Amino acid sequence: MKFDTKGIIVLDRELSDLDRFTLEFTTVLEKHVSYVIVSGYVSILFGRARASEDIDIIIPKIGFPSFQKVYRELKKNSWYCLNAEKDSDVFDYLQENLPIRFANQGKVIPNIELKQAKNRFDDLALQKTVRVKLSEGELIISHLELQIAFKEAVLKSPKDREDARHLRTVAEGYLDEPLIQLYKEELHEFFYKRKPKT
Amino acid sequence: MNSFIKENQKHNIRFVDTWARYVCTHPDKEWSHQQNIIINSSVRNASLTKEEYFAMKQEKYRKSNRTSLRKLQGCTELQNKEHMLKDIEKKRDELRHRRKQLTKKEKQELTALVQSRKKSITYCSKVH
Repeated sequence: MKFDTKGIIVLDRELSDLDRFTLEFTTVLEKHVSYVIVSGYVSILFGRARASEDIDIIIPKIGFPSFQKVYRELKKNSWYCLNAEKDSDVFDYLQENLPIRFANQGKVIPNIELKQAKNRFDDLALQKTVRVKLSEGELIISHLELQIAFKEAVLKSPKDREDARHLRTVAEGYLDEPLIQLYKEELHEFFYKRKPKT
Repeated sequence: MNSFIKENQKHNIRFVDTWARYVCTHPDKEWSHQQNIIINSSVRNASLTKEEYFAMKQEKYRKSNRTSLRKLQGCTELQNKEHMLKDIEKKRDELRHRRKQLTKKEKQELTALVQSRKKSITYCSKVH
């Protein structure tokens, strides 16, 4: 595992089924739209000893014509949407900030959970990315500081805390600790102290 | 029970730390080979139906929203309201048509029911 200061991490890992599954999906996705991988799979990619049934991916807000192109190509490459079949129905989910799930034909697990950016932290994840170079391709993940802060300040389940702990250990010396603390404060403010709109 | 959970979490954390140190000190190929035994077996042995999976995730997977579909078709707010009004008018016409098909006795019963409803609504609005 080599951490580069220019936002590139080289991983010489033996690829798992989950890695190949993710690479297959992102190869289609990146032709049409930018994306970022977040949450559990990030820590799994860096060696956390657990599996996951879904990969969380955030994309920016896109219009229906762009979505149609992505959807058509995913279907052409044997992917199907678990939520609905018609492109307009699937897009409807995204419009309402609901995640949509894609899997290989005939399967439910593993699947990709695709969401549109819906707050400034999702936008931040899309802006500040890290490229992970693998033997069979590249994956774009969110910068680790935001991932750790999100798991420690928002999700907080034992599994998420362990994910964050693992990332802290494997990326020790590479992480910007003051930035993690800043994100944690901002996330706490945003998710727990935000006043409802009047 | 609480102490059992706490003890279990302590064990988990100790394992996370030990494993993370192993990842740091061994070549990527070595730790990933071991990690893949867990990942591949759980991915290959997963057998849930779509319905079971969504129930597990507590997510809705089927919905139909006519208003947002119209949004998608490029309707403005005003056009949306016009569509909704047309829907209501269509339903009213359907009900009128069904009423015409009723027998005399059924019509009398329906009129009585409507009047009693109207009375209760007027009563409620007066109380409020």
